[in-house]
Amino acid sequence: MVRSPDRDLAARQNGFAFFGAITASLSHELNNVLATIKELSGLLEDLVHAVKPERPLNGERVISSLEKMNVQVERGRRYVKQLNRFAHSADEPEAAIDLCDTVAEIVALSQRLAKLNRVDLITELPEQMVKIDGSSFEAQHVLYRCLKAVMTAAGQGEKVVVRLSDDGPRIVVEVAGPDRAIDVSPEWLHVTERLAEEVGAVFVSEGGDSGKMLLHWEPGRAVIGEVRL
Amino acid sequence: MRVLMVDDEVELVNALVERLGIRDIDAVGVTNGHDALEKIYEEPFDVVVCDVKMPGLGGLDVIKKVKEKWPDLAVILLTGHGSTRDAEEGVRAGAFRYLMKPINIETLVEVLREATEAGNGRGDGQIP
Repeated sequence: MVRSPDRDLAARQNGFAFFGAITASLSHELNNVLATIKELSGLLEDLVHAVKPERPLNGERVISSLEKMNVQVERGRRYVKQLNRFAHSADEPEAAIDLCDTVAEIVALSQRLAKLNRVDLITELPEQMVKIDGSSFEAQHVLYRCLKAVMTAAGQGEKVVVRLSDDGPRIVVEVAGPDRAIDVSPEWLHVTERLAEEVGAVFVSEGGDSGKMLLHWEPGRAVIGEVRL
Repeated sequence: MRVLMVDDEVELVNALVERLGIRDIDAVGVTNGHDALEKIYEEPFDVVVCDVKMPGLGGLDVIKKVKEKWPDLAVILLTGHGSTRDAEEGVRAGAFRYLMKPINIETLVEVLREATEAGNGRGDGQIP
């Protein structure tokens, strides 16, 4: 595909913005983990300093704090692993990728956004691998745009489901929120269509109050854009 | 001194409440802005310590609502963001000060004392 310099620049800017959004979110979570560990270790220090002959160290409180610190360390390790995988997703611009992994990873990376929107974000994935050729980073990018738009339209306590299906000739990722109109700008739509094209997919917004956005892959078929809003 | 700690990080709030208690400061913790406002309606506090970024009502929303009803109640903001833009906006909206997370407990205690001296809190515990 021949790309114009303007289009390359716009794609780069959008890519940087996506990379920034994800790393800002994860670094914020990591900071919370460190802040919590700092207070838990500070509490241990306080408990030790408060020890007197008539007031011995409370072993249960010490063990409880240590267990909570371990939980935070595991949480931090999970974020670091996600961040590292995300950073490496841009290594290969064209490779065989498993869409199950890609969907699972971007959903995990979007959990903080879901929490801030007070939305329950879940996946429904097939058991077998779903292979496509493309860039994992760009696939995550276009999925993130859909997730963010659908989650923004969803209300507190509502569910957003990312469903991947592979019926042979067609692979579909559906991002489905509550039945409600999704407010996106023509520019948003244009950028999302182009990003979908980059990974060999067609972006479809079902329009009306469906609350759904879809990405279609039809390997071996000509990609024909179809957008109804 | 009565302090309300507000942060969606449950273990962080619990540990801070306990550490302030060890320093003879009566602290209560809640994990969202909505519960914070309910608590302020129910009980008198001298200072509110509130995280900027939380699900639902964030720190900036809390400070605006607090200042509408109790302009003298001191609010200290906590932020973990690399950018301090939101926290500075909070100070413009009436926050006493902002602190970066992770915080130093002795700095927090010092700022709590300064804030208590500067504000009138909700001494009578009555809804205005």
